[in-house]
Amino acid sequence: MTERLSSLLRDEADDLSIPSAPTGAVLAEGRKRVRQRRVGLASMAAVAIIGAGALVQATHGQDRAAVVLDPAAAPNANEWAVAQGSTVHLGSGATVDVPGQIKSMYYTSAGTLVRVGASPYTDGPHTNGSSYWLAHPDGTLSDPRISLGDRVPGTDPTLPYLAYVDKGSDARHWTVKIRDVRTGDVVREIPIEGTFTWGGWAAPPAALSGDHVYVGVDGTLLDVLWRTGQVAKTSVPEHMPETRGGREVVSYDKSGKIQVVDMVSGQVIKTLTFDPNVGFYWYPQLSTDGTHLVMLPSADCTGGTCTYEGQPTRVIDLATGKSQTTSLEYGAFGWSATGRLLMVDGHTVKSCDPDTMKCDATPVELDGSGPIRVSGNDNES
Amino acid sequence: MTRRPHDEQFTAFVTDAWRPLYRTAYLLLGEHGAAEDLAQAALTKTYVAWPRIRETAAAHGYARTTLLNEARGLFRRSSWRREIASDALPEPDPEPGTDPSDRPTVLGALRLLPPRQRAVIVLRFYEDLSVEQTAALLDCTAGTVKSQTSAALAKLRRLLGDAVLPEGALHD
Repeated sequence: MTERLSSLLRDEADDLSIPSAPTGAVLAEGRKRVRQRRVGLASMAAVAIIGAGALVQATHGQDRAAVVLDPAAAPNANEWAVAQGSTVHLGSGATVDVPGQIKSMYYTSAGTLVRVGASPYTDGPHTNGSSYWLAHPDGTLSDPRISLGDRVPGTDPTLPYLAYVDKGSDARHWTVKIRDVRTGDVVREIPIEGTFTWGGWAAPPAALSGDHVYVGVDGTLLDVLWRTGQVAKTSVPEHMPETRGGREVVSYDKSGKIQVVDMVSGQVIKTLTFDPNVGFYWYPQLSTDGTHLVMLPSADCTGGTCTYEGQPTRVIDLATGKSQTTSLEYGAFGWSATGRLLMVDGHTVKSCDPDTMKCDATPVELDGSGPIRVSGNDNES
Repeated sequence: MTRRPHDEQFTAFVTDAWRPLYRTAYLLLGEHGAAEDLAQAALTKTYVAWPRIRETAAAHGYARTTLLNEARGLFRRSSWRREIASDALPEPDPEPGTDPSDRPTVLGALRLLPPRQRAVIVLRFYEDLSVEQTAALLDCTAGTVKSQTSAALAKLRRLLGDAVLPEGALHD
């Protein structure tokens, strides 16, 4: 008896004048809600951690430390991150969308710290708000409220901390800051001294490796023991530190040698030589754990596109000196948190044992929007 | 569909889902601005829930259910139980024997119903919900739905005539 009413209702509803779908507004509001929800969850976790820290402090009474510092923890063997545009694909199988273009990614024991901005390049525009987001292995995202501008920070896959340098009272004085990426809290501040004129960043670049932060001031790398506050000069000349597994690649251009140095003992692990009149043809990069060295060929770049096409890459085991030869694609390789070589094509991330080159493949959906970022690389510029 | 959708994917979904959601929202609320807000709110919640939705087809159902649930929130507000404010006085019921071409459209007639009666009609005869489902959405008893439906159909019959609602259609 009401079929006619239903039919007329549908007909007239079909004829309604309907405004165009507000796709942009829905997407923007949806993203905002997702961020708010994740930040809310992260804040609840932060309250729990801070509470636990306060309890430990009360128990120890006279302990000067306001926070309990985490010891190093072995990273997960499957931890890697590959990104394009605003999407991060994690080795856990989860994907995470971040608010902005992904510039660079850093392993920490709390997850992958993702640096974002208006463009995918680290020297591109920075955001006004937080520039770093923490992507957790379960695919959730939290906001540590960190915005560093044009600085080179450092992380260590075994620690939940980010190290960087802030300006001090004048051009000779700086402060090394250690921040907990889970909460954004500064857990250590260590004053250091030294001019910085050799680089164009807002502060000297820093690398975090175990209990050490290495800082590239004029003439040398400073060795900062961040847990105790001790600072010492090293014999390593100034450069952007990329210390991995306690090891650093040091280039001596005038004498024509490149060395892999154990930064704590000073021991030279490997020396490569080249003609100083010609320069070096192979660019060395350490694996994330410092156990392997990849010798990258010079890229052939035309029209803004670079390739290693036809040039093999050598991967050297620094413990035995044995090497493997493989083929890498420019910009589409990196290292897992434990030092496995990552190779990415348009559809797959291959995680390879650098000694045998046996690989595990994981399919990913890369949408072609901008450069591919593979974790285990320093994309600082 | 275990992850956040790509922009293109979700934009395509919004484009598909928008018109049916908007129609339901407009029929329920009788105002274009309110309908737009309601449909947009439902789609935003669908975006947030996307990782839990397994297929795009399911997303359409999720968005529709979300819209009705969002509407329920509006229905529960005491202000909604009152008439929609309007500068125009409601038209009197047409006299018996009025030329059918002078009668209001169904949508025009719906606007002349009190909000709760309009919602009952839309949910029952446009969304094809049962009495129980309608009662749950409107936060009232099945008996209230039946009485509101009967009153609404009686008024619609007066406005729209026997051709649309014959005599026997006045009760469930």
